Amino acid sequence: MGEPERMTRRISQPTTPWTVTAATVTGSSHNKSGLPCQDDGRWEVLQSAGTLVLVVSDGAGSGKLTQFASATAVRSCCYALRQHAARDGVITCESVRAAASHAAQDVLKLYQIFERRPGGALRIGDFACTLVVAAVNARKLVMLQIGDGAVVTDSPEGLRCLSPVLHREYANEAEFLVTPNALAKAFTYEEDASIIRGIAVMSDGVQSLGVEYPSNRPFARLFRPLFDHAVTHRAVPQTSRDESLERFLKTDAVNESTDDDRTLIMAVREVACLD
Amino acid sequence: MDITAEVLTADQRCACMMVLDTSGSMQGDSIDALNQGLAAFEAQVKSNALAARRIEVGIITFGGDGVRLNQDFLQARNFVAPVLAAGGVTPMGEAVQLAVQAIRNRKNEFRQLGVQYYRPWLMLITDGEPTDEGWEQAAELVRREETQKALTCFPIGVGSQVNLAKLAQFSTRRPMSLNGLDFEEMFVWLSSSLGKVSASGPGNMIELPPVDSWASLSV
Repeated sequence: MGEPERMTRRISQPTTPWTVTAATVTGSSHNKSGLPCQDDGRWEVLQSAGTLVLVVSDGAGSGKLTQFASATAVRSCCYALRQHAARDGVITCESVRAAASHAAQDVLKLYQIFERRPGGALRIGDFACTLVVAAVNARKLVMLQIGDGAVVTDSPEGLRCLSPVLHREYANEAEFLVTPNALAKAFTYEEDASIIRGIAVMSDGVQSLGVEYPSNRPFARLFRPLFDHAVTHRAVPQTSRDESLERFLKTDAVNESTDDDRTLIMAVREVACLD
Repeated sequence: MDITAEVLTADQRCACMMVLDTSGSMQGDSIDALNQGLAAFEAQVKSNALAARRIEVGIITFGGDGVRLNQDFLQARNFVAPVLAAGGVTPMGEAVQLAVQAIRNRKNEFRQLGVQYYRPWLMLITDGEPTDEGWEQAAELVRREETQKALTCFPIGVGSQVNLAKLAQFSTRRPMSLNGLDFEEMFVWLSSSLGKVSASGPGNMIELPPVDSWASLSV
């Protein structure tokens, strides 16, 4: 059996206009083959920059220890963003790039530590993981992406996928945080966030359920109910699990569509903030 | 409260063209074993719902009827194993050329439909040697396609009369020799290997199941 679901706490703090809910669910193929969940995700409110950061990483199924790589990547990235926020008071594209670089270095260090262990015939690919980061405050949204996964926003103008369509011939070609030049080629994007009322960051297990290929259109019949769900759960205490979201990500319909791990972090903004 | 939402099911495709020798030398036990193997493939591939949607199979035969597209690519969940008959000569070069073209066409269709796909497979199975003019060019074409990562070819020799030296020219990898007439084990392996490919995510260099239950590597 896979690991128990993680990342199921919800936060709704008076100091942030955002309500965040999230879940990570082990893919059915991982359960069958005894593989651990290789996705990880994390969010933080950086008070010093008035910014919410959402980070997701998906460990490659081909690597032996990618669950540690993804866990390291999200924590390292959040740590670096916290440092940037405290120092600069703002999160920019540059700070997100620097945080991704910090995460890559930490994953590399992890590889070096494991490699020194006796009997550990490992390669860097055993630590391959993606990285999707979104940082949003009242005015600006900044994102970075290396590899698969997606960022979807909701605003009065509708649902939008901010992630790029990956140009590749075969479905299993990929970029990872530790791929040579991955940081140089990382996709970054920023835009005015003043009208954004919802944001979802996800691994490819959820992307395949809700972002059409190759049009990159978010599938409204998935994301609309999910954002509605996030809004209606604002009154739930901070420490409770979002069992509804976990259950949804384990439904037969989802299992029939994907056997991959699924991670989804959603944030919805108090309407008052938009005024 | 439960969330009610719909999800997309746009599956990536993993296409495999089987190019099968149905020439006269396959008559008798060989063709029977091949047919049993295809039936085993059908049963095995349909037992995994996700794989049955993502895997596409096609069959080209070469033998008494000449070269024949017995089954164009279709999703494995709709695959019905044919019952093949054997007779005639071995126009393997022409069959392989048709397979390469069918794979190219299918990839074009995938692109037009906006369907993601994996590198297609070409399974070439024979118990003899090519008898048609120009088979060398066909062999070179497959090798070139493989070098350009357009497809992956698995040449498999059957019985003691197969010309492994000629078969080897159809791929950048060495042919495998089927143990006796164990087509059934080979097709179960094929189903499970394609299933692994079709479930592989980005960056996954998959490790195929071992072949020692049905094959040995030719030297």
